[in-house]
Amino acid sequence: MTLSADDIAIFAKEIWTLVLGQAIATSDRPLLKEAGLINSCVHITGAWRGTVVLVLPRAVAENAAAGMFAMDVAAMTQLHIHDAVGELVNMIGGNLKSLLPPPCFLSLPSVTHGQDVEMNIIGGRCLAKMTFETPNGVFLVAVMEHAADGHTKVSGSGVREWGQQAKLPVCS
Amino acid sequence: MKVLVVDDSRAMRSILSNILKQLGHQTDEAGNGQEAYEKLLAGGEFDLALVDWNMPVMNGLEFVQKVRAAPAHAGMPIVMVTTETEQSQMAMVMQAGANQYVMKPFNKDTLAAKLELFTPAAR
Repeated sequence: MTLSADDIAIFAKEIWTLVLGQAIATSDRPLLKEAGLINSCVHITGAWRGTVVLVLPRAVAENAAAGMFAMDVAAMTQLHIHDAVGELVNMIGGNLKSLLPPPCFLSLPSVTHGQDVEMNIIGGRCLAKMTFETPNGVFLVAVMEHAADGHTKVSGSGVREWGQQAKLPVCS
Repeated sequence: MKVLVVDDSRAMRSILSNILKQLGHQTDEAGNGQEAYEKLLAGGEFDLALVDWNMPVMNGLEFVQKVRAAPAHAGMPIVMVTTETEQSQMAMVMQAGANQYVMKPFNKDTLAAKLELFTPAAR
């Protein structure tokens, strides 16, 4: 069983439509590395092991949070943004999990932000990724499949495989 | 109805509470199963609880089990609001005593239809 970029697109579009009332389209534009990217992930364990990653520019995250809290963008704090992004990656991960062989279990979401933040998924390879266009910028969803060796680096410019290099923290 | 919204995500609690208020219901919120259970122990009375599955401290399944084991609240309808889709997991929570479930993401109509099942007229 595998997960594809099309699977990511179906669920991400549905979540953005139903939760945020916003139609989004897949995009060929890369996610640019910029200050203030919000990185989030949720891990899946069980019959399949991997990580679902959501990376958003601050403007996209702020607007998503404002939609979820039904408040003005200007009123969004870091707490609002982290909470909203955590719930978005939780929903994306949970829906993707429905395509995986049972039993699989979803972790609680993690959210990080900051200048030059990189997330390293130990023992992972990028299985699928997709970028999406919103009125506030491009965001990325990726699925990492955990492998026996190697790890995958997620950065502001997208996702790339690192192979079997030195061990790095899962999130840094 | 007076509805207890139980979710560790403040954003999801906000979404649910806003929809519930639009539908004419009263709401109270808890950030996990433990907080929700403490509201019940403190005398809180609710016509329904909307409960997330995946929460820290006390998850949705544990909350359902606690409530169903407590005579004072055992009859309170519980609707799980979750991304969980696995049949075995859903069977487990339904066997534990949840009455219904709503899949995330959902829209207002979907939630309203589930709530309708528990209005006094429908019971």
